[in-house]
Formats: sequence, C-alpha cells, structure tokens
Amino acid sequence: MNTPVTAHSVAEPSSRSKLIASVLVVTYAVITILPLLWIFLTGFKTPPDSIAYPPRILFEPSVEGYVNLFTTRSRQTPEFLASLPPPQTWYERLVRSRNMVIGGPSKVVPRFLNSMIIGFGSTFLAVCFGTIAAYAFSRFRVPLADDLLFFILSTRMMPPIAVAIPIYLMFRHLGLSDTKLGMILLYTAVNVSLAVWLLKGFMDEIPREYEEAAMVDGYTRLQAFFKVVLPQATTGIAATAIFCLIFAWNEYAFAVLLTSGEAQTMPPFIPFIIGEGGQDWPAVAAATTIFFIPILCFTILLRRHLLRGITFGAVRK
Amino acid sequence: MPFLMLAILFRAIENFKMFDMVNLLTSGGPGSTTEVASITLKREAFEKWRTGYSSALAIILFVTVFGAANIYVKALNRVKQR
Repeated sequence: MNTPVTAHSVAEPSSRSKLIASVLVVTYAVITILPLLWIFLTGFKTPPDSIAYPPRILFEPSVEGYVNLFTTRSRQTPEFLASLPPPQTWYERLVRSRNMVIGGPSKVVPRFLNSMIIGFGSTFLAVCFGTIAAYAFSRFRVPLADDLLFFILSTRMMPPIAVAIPIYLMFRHLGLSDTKLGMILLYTAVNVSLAVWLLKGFMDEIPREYEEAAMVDGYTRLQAFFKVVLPQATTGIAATAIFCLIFAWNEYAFAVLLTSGEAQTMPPFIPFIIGEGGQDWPAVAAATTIFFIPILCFTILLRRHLLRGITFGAVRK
Repeated sequence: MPFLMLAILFRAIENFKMFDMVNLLTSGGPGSTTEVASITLKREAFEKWRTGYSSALAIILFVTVFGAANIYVKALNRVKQR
C-alpha cells in the first residue's frame, strides 16, 4: 500500500450535520479528557492544594506527590532532624522540609512491574489462543460449534467476587496463589472468551478464497494461516489485544481478592496509598498518571494498524 | 453490525456484574440505594457470612445472564446469516 487511502463516503454530509457531529465529538472528548487532566494536574499539586476548596486550577507545581509515591517516609521531631547530616539530594531536601525522613523506596516499582508482566503476558497468551481458536471456529466444521462458543462466553458471566473463593482454593492446591503465573493464567482464561468472539468476527470477514488459492499454490494449511490469514487479520488482532490489555490492566476484583504481596498489581495498590499517613491525594494521582502511561503508549502504537485495517476493509468489500 | 452487537453483548455482561467501581465509589450506599447484585453478594458473603445464601444468589445471577445472553446470541447469529 504505497498511496495513502482516505475513507470517504459517496454522499458528502451537509454542513449542518457536520456541525452537529463535531459538537458531539468535542463534547465527548472534553467529558472524557477532563478527569484525566484533573488527575494529571493533581499529581503536581502539594497536599494542601489538592484538597483546597474551591479547587485550584492555577497552582505552584511541585513533585511532592511523585516523591511521596516512590518513597516511604516517617515523621520525626525537629531535634532529631537537626541532628542528622544535611540532605544530599533534592528529594531528600523536599521531604526534610516536611519534617520527615526517607525510610526507603516504596513498593510502587515492583507493583508496576507486576502489572506490566501480568497485563502483557496474559494479553499475549489470550490473543494467541484466541486467534487459533477463532480460525478453527471460522474455517472448520466443529461439532456443536455454536454451543462451544457459548460455553466459552459463559466463563465471563459469573461476578468475579462469586468465583474468587473457588479459584482461591484451586490456586492454593496448585501452589499458584499470589504468584504472577497464577494471575496470568486467570486473566488469560477470562480474556480468551473476548478474544475468540472478537477474532471470529474478523476471521469470518476474510474471504476463504485467499487461503484456498494459497493452498492450491502449494502452501500447507499452516503456512497459509501464517502468510495469508494472519496479515489480513492484523486489524482484528490489534483491536483484540487492546481490549484484552485494558481488561487485564484495570482488573480490580480478582486482584484485590487473590493477591496480597508477591503478585499484587497496581489497581489494588493505588487505594492502599491513600491509607498511608493521611489522605495523600497527590501521590494517588501520581500513581494513576504513571499507571495510565503504558496503556496509552500501547494503544497509540497499535493505532496505526487499526486505522490501516479500517481502510483495507472498506476497499476490499 | 455484528461487531456492534458483539460490543453490546460484552459491555452488557460486564456491566451486569460490575463490582469495582460501585464498591470504590459508594460500596452500595447510602443505605442500599446503589446496591447492585454483586455488591449484595459481597455483603451477604463477607459481612453477614451467609455463604449458602450468597452462593445461591451467584447461581441465580449466572443463570440470568446465561439465559439473556443465549437469546441475544441467537439474534446475533440471525443477523450474521443475513
């Protein structure tokens, strides 16, 4: 695809409907972006500024929230502080000015890494299984295919809070409780249903003749799958990966019930920050901002595939 | 069209068993005005310790979603075949 293809409809929309559409889009964008912007700004406020009423829109930026997020601190008496050697680094100076001493790094980095490993690991597995299963459901005559598909979907239907205890018992017997592997397997199991259903829709859209032609030309079924079907399904795979990652990344109920230390992800960790020594909203906002960045990057990286796929589809049909 | 219906299906299932947002924002309160089914489940199971009652409730929830989704998927398949 060398020339850029732009999607356009046959009938140009009237200027009035364009105006209405743009107003709607802008309103929706403002509604969705405002909370994110607010969280981002709160991350750079000082604790008194963050709970000031009326809320402050203009304020003096401070990185105290981020320092508080990455360190554990303890409050000390002025006499004890005076007896300490002078602070070495800028963040020590900042903490010292609040009559506190840095105890050590906080657990936010391991928790963040847990989120990364569990989120991306389970997304990868779910998309792999989902692609293969969707291909099989789409192309081969599977006995009771509709019932099997519905059974796969039904794994999502129980509220997590209801299935958490049986899963906890299973995990304890298998030695998987509070391990990253256990959480990856659990999120994969939940996400496979979404992946299979979404990808089956995309696979059905790819004409069967493409791979049949490839097989006539001497490819095996597996080669045809990898060289013909997979490139065509990139759009579907990218969209599925984004949805799976968003689910695994934001999952709260399972994470809070099944992990306590070793494998704890960010969602149960962020409320835990609030409880540590007063309500430290800037630290919470800082954690949320950092938590939000990887998924934003992932979506932006895959967006090119999404857009390209949409125009591909329009041309092909 | 099938993709739109698929999106509705998944969102409906997710929202039917929504737990985390309600739990963090209101935890079912004030009183029981925002008590969705999964919050009732949690309250019965982990605050009143009526495990049997809440297990039964979980099964009822599951059967409800199962039935509703079954009808919906039949409609979805009919749309796809057209």
